[in-house]
Amino acid sequence: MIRYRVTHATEYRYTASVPQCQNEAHLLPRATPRQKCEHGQLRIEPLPAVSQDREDFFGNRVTYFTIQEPHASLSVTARSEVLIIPAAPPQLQASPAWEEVRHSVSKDTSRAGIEARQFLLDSPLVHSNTELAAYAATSFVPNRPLLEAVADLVQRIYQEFTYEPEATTVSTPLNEVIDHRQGVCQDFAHVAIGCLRTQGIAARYVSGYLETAVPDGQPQLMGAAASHAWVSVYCPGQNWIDFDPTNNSIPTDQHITVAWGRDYSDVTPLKGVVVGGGSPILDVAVTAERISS
Amino acid sequence: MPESTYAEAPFQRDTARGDTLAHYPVLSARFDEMCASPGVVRPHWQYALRAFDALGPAELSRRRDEVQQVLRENGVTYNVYTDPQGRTRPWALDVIPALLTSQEWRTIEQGLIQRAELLSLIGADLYGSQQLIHDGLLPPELIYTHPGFLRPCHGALPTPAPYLCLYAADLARAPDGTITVLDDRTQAPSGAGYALENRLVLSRILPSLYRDAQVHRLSLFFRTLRSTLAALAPSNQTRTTLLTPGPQNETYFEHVYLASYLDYTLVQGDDLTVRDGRLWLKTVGGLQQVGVVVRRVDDVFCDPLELHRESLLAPPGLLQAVRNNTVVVANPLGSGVLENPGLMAYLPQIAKVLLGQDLRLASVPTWWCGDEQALAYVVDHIEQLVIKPVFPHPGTATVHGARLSAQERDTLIQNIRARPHFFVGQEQVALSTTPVFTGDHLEPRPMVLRSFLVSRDDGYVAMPGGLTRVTPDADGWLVSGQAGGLSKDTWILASEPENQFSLIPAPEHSVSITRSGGEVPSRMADNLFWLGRYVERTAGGARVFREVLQRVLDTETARYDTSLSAFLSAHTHNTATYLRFIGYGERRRLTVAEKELFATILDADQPGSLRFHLNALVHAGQAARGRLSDDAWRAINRLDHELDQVRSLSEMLESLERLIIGLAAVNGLNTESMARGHGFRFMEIGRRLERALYTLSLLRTGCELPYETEKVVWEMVLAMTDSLMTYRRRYASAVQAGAVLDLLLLDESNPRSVGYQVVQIRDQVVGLPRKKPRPHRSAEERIVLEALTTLQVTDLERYSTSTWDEDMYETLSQLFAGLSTRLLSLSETLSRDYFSHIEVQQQLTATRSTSR
Repeated sequence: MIRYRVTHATEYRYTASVPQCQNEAHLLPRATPRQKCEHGQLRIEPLPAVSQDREDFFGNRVTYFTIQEPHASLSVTARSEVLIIPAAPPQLQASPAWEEVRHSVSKDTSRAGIEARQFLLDSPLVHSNTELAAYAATSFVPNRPLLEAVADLVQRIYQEFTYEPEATTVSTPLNEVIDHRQGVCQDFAHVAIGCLRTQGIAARYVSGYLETAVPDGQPQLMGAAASHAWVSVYCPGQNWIDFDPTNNSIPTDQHITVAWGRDYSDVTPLKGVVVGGGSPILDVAVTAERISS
Repeated sequence: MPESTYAEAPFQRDTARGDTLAHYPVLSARFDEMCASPGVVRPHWQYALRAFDALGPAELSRRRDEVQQVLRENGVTYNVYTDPQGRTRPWALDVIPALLTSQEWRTIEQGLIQRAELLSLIGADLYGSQQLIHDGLLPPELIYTHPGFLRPCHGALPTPAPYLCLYAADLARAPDGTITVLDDRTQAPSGAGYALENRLVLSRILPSLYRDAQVHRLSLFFRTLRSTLAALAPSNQTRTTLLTPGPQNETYFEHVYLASYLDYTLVQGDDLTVRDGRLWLKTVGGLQQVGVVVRRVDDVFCDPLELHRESLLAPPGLLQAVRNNTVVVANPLGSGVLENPGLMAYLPQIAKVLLGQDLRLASVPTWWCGDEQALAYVVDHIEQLVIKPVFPHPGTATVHGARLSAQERDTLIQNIRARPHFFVGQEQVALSTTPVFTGDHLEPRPMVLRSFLVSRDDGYVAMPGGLTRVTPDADGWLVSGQAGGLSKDTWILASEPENQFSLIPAPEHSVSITRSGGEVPSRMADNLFWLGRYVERTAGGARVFREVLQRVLDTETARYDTSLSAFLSAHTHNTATYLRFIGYGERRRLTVAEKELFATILDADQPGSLRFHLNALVHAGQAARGRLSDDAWRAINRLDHELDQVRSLSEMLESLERLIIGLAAVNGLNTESMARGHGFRFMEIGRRLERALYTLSLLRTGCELPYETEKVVWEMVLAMTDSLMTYRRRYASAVQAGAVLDLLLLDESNPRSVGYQVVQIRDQVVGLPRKKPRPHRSAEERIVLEALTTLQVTDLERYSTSTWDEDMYETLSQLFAGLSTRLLSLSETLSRDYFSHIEVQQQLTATRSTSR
């Protein structure tokens, strides 16, 4: 069991006073079969008039808060300790052929199956189209074991897309990412999800963190000082298996899950509506340190 | 209206086959509501038909015209999105009602009640345990792909029982006589208000027939709605609001009408705010808590924080307030998922499981293409089916397979195969026909009936009647408000004496005597202030144009150029809009004055024209409808038509005269009928402020014109301020500038003078609500005091001479400018302090995941 200490600080500095803001945060890590969150808390400045936690449709932890006094900046810091049981690397070749999975999942009426079926469908930011289908088809050759096909797709995205933070914004449509082959982790996750869904494979979006300081001798995962995103694929019998297209890896013990949903729009780390505010400046800092293993 | 004018003639014939039936064709492919076969009238139509026969075509035509006149006077409209001018369309009501027997209605009603209960159970399940999906009664894709399934509404939302407070269904009758449901309306059903208005109008136009036919009344439905919503309120200290998208919405008339009828506050999104986890209404006196929201805004637009991010139609945080159980929204947010026509394919089975019953009312046969077998059926039978998206979507219309070319059909099939979850195929019901009085005879038209239900603690209550709509032409297949068409009142004929009044529970609560009309929402205060201003602005414009026209029509136009153009310019500056009379080439333009005058008065697209101001007045009146007396409202509606059909300058003059009298009527009715609350206060301040500005601008013009035109000019000023008689009585001499100045500027006893207006404003301003009690004067009071003092210390003694020096002109000019500036700053200060309902709101850039 590995214990991480996670800090995710977000700050908005406004150019005009804000008399009221209302926000929704997906910032506290959820529980998963391999993960437990301890001492999770949000520190919000100025102190909110109302702050309420709940669980969303996907079982993620959500916080609604509102500040009702005029303020010039908003700072939200999420701190927690997360315990993770390292995953055994999946047996890629041992998974069923992807066509078989496609067939069985579409008719699966088990609780897990019905839950998975919603991740086959178009979602607000990911619409299937022929480009995505064509891109996926290269990896999804007949009778290939599902997880091998996914690993191949993820590797191709890693190789063929360029990490370029300036190329996209929160509102860049998926089509543009595909056309320009550039983006950030969130874009690559959306590309992978879109490709998988065109092949009839249930895929969900995972928002979380990467370990920021790594033990000696292991390669540093790049750009870990921001929040991260990857994908998870439903494979009957093996449940959900994570893949990280940005690092071409299969997460085992260095990925900390915060929330999952159909795409980014379901699990936006922090969003809000403010009155006034001018042109806000945004700063984000993330650390995820291993404190015991 | 005296009853006697409408007493139908005694029936002299035994047969119901009078002239009205002479040319009434009955189509074999459709069920006709009136005739079982050609010439054979169904029993429940015979009485009414005899009455129509007795009236005869000429009288029916007259009453049809009267229906339209009453609707127009009551301002009943329907907005058409595609109309390039954005004009509202008058509501169209047929003079012939649609008739149903009590006996048949009971069967339909039971079916509707069952369906409302069933859909409520489904809604509660989908936003709760989703047992229907897990038990295989609903395919998950049917729900999860539907944009109306709002995940943020799942689980945590406390919902009233039953889930749906309001429900409406569109019903059609198939050729075999059975009633089927075409559409379910589960989130913000429209039409109940139009149905009520139709009833009020038709019962007035056909009073004897209405009385003798023993028609079931509609009032119980609305009383139940009121008591149901009152019971939903989390506390009785809160108010109930009706949330409208605003005046651009197609059924805005109805929102205003229902809010007024039910005594709820009509609000738009930015009238509301969420604080402390509660919902509040912004009023001129501060925030007032809202307990119930009857929404006419689609649910995806009801919270820009959690739902559609671009929406300005509802305040952010509304969903959280609902979660906190501090406010109830009816119908619940998320209930749009039940409007998915794909659900219809699964209802029979769900009814069996959940209710242990068969569906009493069949739905139109429906195939949801997300199901493989259904998809195959739809593709094979596309020529016989209507193809609909499961959710209204721009660019995806409902289409009739048979009306497509082969190529269009192929494209449609491709689209369906690409997104099968998104489409249903439905059988086309050959709608039954009902008689419409068109031209001078009855004609059968396809019809659809929209029925309305409201929940009560022991189940649902259906409105006995509803809104019947017929297609615009005889072979139409699509009934929609946007496509035009005619509505009908729907009469359920009682077979026994009406006894529902003895059945209803006691009124929800006794009326407690109160003298306040509730706090005035900031937006309403704003509307009333501008209503006051526009009434005066239009009246001022009408007086200026009247004087100008009279002189244009007078052949002696010696001093025409300078004085007339000066006044038109003054009016222009005053309204901050620049007409064609000023600027480059004004002289040339005045030589073609007639044409220009027409445009300047009648061209609604030209900012600053009289028609433009009149439109603004009518809009402000519509927005303030709930605060005006019925008579004032009708007077405003009548004004709307005063400038129609003007063909010559002399007709124009007559129109202007009528307009001036009509505006005086509006002012008079407002003064005589509005309670003296804050609403009246803001309207009165607006009115006085505008009148003071108007008079000031005329005085300024008078002083600026060359001396040789003086007498004519001051006479015109007096006429434009309706003060000529007062002047003559006082001075009995030729018009002289100093005396005019005294009368129109300083004399606080002359209701047209600037001084009088400022005194009136002062008296209103002291009573304005103050958010925090403070010992010193408010900003508004200080401005008015300055203006009044300036006037009262003005010395006009030396202006009584016949010649003025430069300095005297300069002093006056500064005085006018100073007063105008103060009045305009009063308007701005009021806006800032009381009308600040619009706050600039923005979405924060959401944090994104950018790591590598």
